[in-house]
Amino acid sequence: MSIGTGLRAETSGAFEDEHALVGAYALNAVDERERVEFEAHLAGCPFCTVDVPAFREVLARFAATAARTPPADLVPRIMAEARGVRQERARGSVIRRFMRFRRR
Amino acid sequence: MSRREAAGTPPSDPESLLRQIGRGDEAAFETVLRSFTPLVYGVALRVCEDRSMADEVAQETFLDLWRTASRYDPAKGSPQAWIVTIAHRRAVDRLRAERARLSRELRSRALLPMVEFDEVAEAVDAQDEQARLRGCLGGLSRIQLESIHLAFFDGLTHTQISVKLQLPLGTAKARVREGLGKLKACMGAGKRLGGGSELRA
Repeated sequence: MSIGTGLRAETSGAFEDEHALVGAYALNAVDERERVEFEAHLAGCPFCTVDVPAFREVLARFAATAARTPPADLVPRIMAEARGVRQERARGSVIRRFMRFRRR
Repeated sequence: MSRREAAGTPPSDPESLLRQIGRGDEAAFETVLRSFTPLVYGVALRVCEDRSMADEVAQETFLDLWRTASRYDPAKGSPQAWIVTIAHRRAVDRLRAERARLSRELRSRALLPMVEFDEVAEAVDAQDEQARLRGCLGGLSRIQLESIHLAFFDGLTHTQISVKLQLPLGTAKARVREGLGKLKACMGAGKRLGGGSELRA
């Protein structure tokens, strides 16, 4: 555990900072233990809370290179399926709820 | 039915569409589905290398989106990044479960060339953004590029990448972080994907 020091010794003998997993985390290239550990760090880290979404924007562009034509019936199947799935209500602000109320 | 829909002027940018979906708008959902299924299915197919798994991942991703669209927060990223994040996580989880089940040996796959620009890809993302990505990828070292590629498209953990590339344990995570940092800087720090131009007819 790296709590308190911000540094930890790796098996290689090198020291690294507590943000070390930020790239691997954005890539889902971590195991479950690392995910839990890093998310605990992420919640309070001003650097990683900027980097993770920024890396994901980059990866979304990267992902576009893999786009493929899906089976023709995929969209209608998902539409049909969604009709039976209940949506979560927004944990909306009071203002949002007020605006919705006014629209009625 | 929302006021906008009633007025017959459906919004076409993905952020507005997600808000509409959050209110149960099926037409908006279908629009987003038609725009993003090639991306989601393509990523899932690339990661899972199995059509039926990719099909299931795509279904789960969009049903997730339908269920939780009201929670989408534009401040935290573009719709495309949000959707890709959900899809990639599901695909990787599925792949790892499958690998664990079969405990099969990891097959090595061709790493490069990594980019096949087909018509679908160009339709999903603006052409100039893809060109810029290609240019930015050129600024990465081979190890950085391979590490990101193995993580994103092959679903390997940084530990597995270190083993596969015969790097000292613990260094692959540094390489992916450096590589993504370079791409972020090259493509415009924190810049989001274009505001829905890809969805305009």
